[in-house]
Amino acid sequence: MIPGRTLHRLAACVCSAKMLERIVEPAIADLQNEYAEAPANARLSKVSVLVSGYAAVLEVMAMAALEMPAVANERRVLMRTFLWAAGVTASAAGLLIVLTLAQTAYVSTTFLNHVAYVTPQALPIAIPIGLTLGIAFGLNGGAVSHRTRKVVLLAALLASAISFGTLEWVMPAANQSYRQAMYRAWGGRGMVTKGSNEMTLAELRGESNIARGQGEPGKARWLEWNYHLRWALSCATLVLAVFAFALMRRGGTRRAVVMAACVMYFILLFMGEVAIAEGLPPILGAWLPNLTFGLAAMAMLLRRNATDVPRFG
Amino acid sequence: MDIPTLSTTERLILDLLSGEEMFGLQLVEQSKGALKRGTVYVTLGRMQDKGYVESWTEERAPGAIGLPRRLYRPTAYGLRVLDAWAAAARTLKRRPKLQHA
Repeated sequence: MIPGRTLHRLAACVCSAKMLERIVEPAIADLQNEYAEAPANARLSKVSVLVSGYAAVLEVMAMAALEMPAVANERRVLMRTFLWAAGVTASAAGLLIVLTLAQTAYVSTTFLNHVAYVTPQALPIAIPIGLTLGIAFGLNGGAVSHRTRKVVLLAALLASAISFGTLEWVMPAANQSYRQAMYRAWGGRGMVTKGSNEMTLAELRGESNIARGQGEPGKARWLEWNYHLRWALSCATLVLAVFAFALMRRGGTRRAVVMAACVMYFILLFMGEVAIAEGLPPILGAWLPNLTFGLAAMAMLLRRNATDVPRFG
Repeated sequence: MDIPTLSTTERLILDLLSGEEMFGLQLVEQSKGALKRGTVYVTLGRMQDKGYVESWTEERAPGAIGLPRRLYRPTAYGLRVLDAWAAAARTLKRRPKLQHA
């Protein structure tokens, strides 16, 4: 076995030739030599060498990627963007899962089952944050070609579609299964009534109409907000990606602004939820963040076109 | 005139290399924990850009597998910068206050 081959191929995709030769390959070469020199019969020693070696090489690659100047090679830029997006998405989802499980009592089911049940509700929030920050950190410096922009926007569209599928089918089913499992574990019998997070779009619409017919306008408006929220959250990835692109200038993105925008998105979402109780139409409350950032992006793009300065190579 | 900078880490690396040429991992081992495995290669790359060290890949036996390792040694310029900083450190070292009887 020769360790580091896959890492070498990955590094060749994200690092410049100079960074690869000077920084990454020496780290991989030392790992391979150290592994080869570890005693053949000392399995623990070889595993220890691999773990510390791989961790060092990954750290080296991350540092080389962060220090990288603007690159002309589109493939490396895109790989870097998507690696950042994947990393941030995984971290954000992990944090949300931990926060959810911290409030849950573990009964008669394994930890991994708990994680599997709550992961679908974390993804529609983690995915837009992940791709937006991936654009901010991955596309730093230099001009961005039309093709790169197109690929990233297509990825945002795909991510939006995945979010929609998760919100409409996977999350309601996972949530209801989780509630049912916990209910049975606590000795309950029969089926647990679905909450709004366990309903599909059709069920939310139906329950909203029923509530309106039964003279419960507040409940009806809240269920209607939940219905529109599913659609709005699905589009969040695309809206925030366009916003991040609109912020880009020749020479770099405004990373701090993009990070603040991700936080602001969810603050606006919360404000929209509160405002519907005061009479704001539910559809507006759910789409408030998308409308805000969508209009801001359009204004920035139109202003840049009006000044007639070429921005993308 | 730009005065060349030399960080603590770069000084340590030049100190270790002034004795003999080494691989990156050997520098980490010789530093007894002062140098980190994940950062030494980035620092060595930066030092090469500054002209403080030079490197080359080792000769491999025919049929050897894996990547060739990279050896490092200080340049004459790097040693001059190290000597200059050592002299400055000695000159600027504060003397202990004299105790009056």
